[in-house]
Amino acid sequence: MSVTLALLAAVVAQAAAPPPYQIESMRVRFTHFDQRGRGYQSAAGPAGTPGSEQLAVEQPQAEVVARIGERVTERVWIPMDVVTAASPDHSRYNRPITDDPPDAISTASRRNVAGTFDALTTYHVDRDTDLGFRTAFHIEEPFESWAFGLGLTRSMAEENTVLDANVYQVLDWFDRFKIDGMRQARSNRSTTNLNLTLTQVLSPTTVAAVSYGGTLQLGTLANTWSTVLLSDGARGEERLPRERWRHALAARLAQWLPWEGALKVSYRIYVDDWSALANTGEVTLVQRLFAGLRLRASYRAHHQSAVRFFTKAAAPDGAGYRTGDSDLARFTAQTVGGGLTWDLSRAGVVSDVHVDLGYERYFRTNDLTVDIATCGFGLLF
Amino acid sequence: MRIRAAVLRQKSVRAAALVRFAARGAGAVMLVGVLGAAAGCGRGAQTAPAARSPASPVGPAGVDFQDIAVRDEGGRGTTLRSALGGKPALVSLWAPWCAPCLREQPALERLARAAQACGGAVVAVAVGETPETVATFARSRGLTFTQLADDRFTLADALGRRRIPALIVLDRAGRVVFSGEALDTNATAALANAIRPSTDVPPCAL
Amino acid sequence: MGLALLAAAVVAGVVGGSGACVVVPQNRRKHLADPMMRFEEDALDAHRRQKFYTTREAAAGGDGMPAGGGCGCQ
Repeated sequence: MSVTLALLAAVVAQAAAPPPYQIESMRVRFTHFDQRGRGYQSAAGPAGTPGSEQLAVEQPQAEVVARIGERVTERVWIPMDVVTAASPDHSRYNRPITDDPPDAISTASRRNVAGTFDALTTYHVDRDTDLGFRTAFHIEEPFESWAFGLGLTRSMAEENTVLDANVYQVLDWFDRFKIDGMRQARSNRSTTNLNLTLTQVLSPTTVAAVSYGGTLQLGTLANTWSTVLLSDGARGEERLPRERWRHALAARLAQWLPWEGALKVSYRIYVDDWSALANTGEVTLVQRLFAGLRLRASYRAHHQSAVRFFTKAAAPDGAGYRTGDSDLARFTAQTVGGGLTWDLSRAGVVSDVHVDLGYERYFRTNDLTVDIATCGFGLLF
Repeated sequence: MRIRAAVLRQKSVRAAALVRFAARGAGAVMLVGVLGAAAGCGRGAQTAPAARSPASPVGPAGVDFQDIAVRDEGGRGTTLRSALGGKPALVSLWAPWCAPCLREQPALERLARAAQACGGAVVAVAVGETPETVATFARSRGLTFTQLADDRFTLADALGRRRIPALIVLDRAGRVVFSGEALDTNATAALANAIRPSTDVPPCAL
Repeated sequence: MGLALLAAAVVAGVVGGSGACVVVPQNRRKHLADPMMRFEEDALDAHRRQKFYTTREAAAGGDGMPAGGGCGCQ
C-alpha cells in the first residue's frame, strides 16, 4: 500500500511539475519624434489657413521573449506613446466657446499618454509549423482598444519556403469630440486585417518575400476633432465614410554582399476604396565595420494620391464626405536615415548585448517634417 | 435624393470592382508563388547532395566518412579516425552562426571532460568554417575538447546531415550507433553505452 | 493602376516561382542567418517605423502587421 502511494505521488509530482521557463531576450527602445508642419485639418493658426501640426512624441518600448518548455514561446511587448500637441487644447469651462476651435488630443491636458500591452504566444507544433495567438490591450485618456489575432506559419522544402498567414481583429472605443472641444458621445470602430506572406530562399545569399495585407475598417474612422477649412474661411467638421477597404501588396529582397554587407530593397503598392493609391520604395544598405559593429543607411520614397474627398476649401453647405487631413492628401514623402548597431557576443548567462542608435528625417511635399531619434538596448540569454 | 442614391450606387459599384480586382490579384500572386515554390522545390537543383543513409556514411568515391579530410584548429589536415584514435565518441556538427549550437557548447565541454575520464571523447566539427574561425571561437569560450573544421561540407554531406546542430555517436569500431540533432539525454546515454567495455560494467556517469 | 497591380503580381509570381530552382540546406545558410539579412533586424524598431508611417500616410499594410486601428492616432 505504501509503495503504491509512493509511486502515485511520484507520478502526480511529475505530472504537476511546471515546464522549464527560460527568458530568451529582453529589449528596450526609446524613440523621440519631433514633428513640424502645417495641415488643413488643424485649426491651430490664423483663420482661413492650414494650422500647426507641431507635436512631439516620446515612445518607450519594452519587450521580453521567453521559452516555456519545448513548444511554447511567449512574447510580451509594451509600447507607450507620450504625445504633445503644440496647439492649446480648448475647453468650454475655461474659455468662451466662440474662440477658435482646437486641434486637440484631449480636453484634459496637452499631453496624451497611451500604452499598449501585447502578448503573442507561439506554439511550435513541429519543426515546420507554428501557431500564434495574439492579444493586445491599448489605453489612452479618451480611447481604449482590444485586439485579437491568430496566425499560422508553415515551412516547406527544408525551410526554404515559408508561408505565413495571420488574421487580426481590433475593436476601438473612444470619446467623440466636436470641433469646439466638447465631448459629444462615445464612438467605436472595427479593424479586421488579413496578412499573407511568402518567403523564399533564392540562393545561399538571397532571400525574397511577397506579402499581401488586406484591411477592412468599419465605424467612426476619423479623428473627430479634426476640421475642414471651408471656402468662406470658417471651419467645419470632417466627414469620412464609415467603411474602408484597404489592400497592400509588397515585395522585399535581401542580398548578401561579399564584403560583409547586405542590401535590402522593398516595394509596396497600396490601394483603397477611398481612391487613395500609393507607391512606396525603400532601400537599406548595411555594412559590417568589424566584428559586432555595423552601419546602416536607408532611403524611403513614398508617393500617394489624395483620397477622393480631400479638400482645402469645402463648400459651407456641402453634405458629402470631406476631409482636409494632410495625411490623406496627395504628396510625396522621403525618409533618409541611418544608424549604428553593436552586438557583443559573449560566453555566460548573457550571450549577447545589443545596442542600437538611429536617426531619420521624414519630409513631405505638403509641409510636414519629422526628425526621429531612436536608441535600443537588448540582452539575449 | 435619387441622384445622390445613383451617385452612391455608382461609387459602390466602382469600389466593389476595385476590391474584386485587388483580391483576384492578390490571390493570383499567392497561388503562383505557393504553387511555384512547392512544386519545384525539392525537385530542382540543390546546393548540396541529397541526404544519404546514416547507416553507411561514405564520402566522395566511396571513402569512409572517418577518412574524409578535415582540418584541426591549427589548420593541419587530419581525419575523424585520426582525431578519435579508436575511442568511442560523440561528434557534434555545428557553426558559430547557429544560435542553438552556441547554447549547447558549455554542455558539450562538461560532457567532454566527463567522457574523457571514462575513455571516451567529444569532438566538434564546424561545418563551412575555417580553422582560424574555429580556433578563435574555442579560445574565446574556453573550450578544451577537440575542434575540427569541415570547411567544404564534405564530412557533413557524407553523413547526410543538412541541418545543425547535429550529432552522431560512434562506438570503438567507428560505427554510427546514434544519430540526433541537439544534445539531449538520449545522446548522452548513447555515448555512455558506447563507452562501456561490456554490459557487465555499469555505464559511465556522464 | 490596374497595370501596376498586374505588374506587381507578375513580379511576385516570378519571385515565388523562381525559388523553386534552389534548395539551400540549413547548414549552408550562414549568410542568410546573419542579423543584417533580416528584413526587420529589430522588432521594436520595426514597430516604431510601421506605427509612424501608418499614422502619417494614407497607405498601410503589406508588412505582415495590422494596418490601422488600435490607437487614437488616426
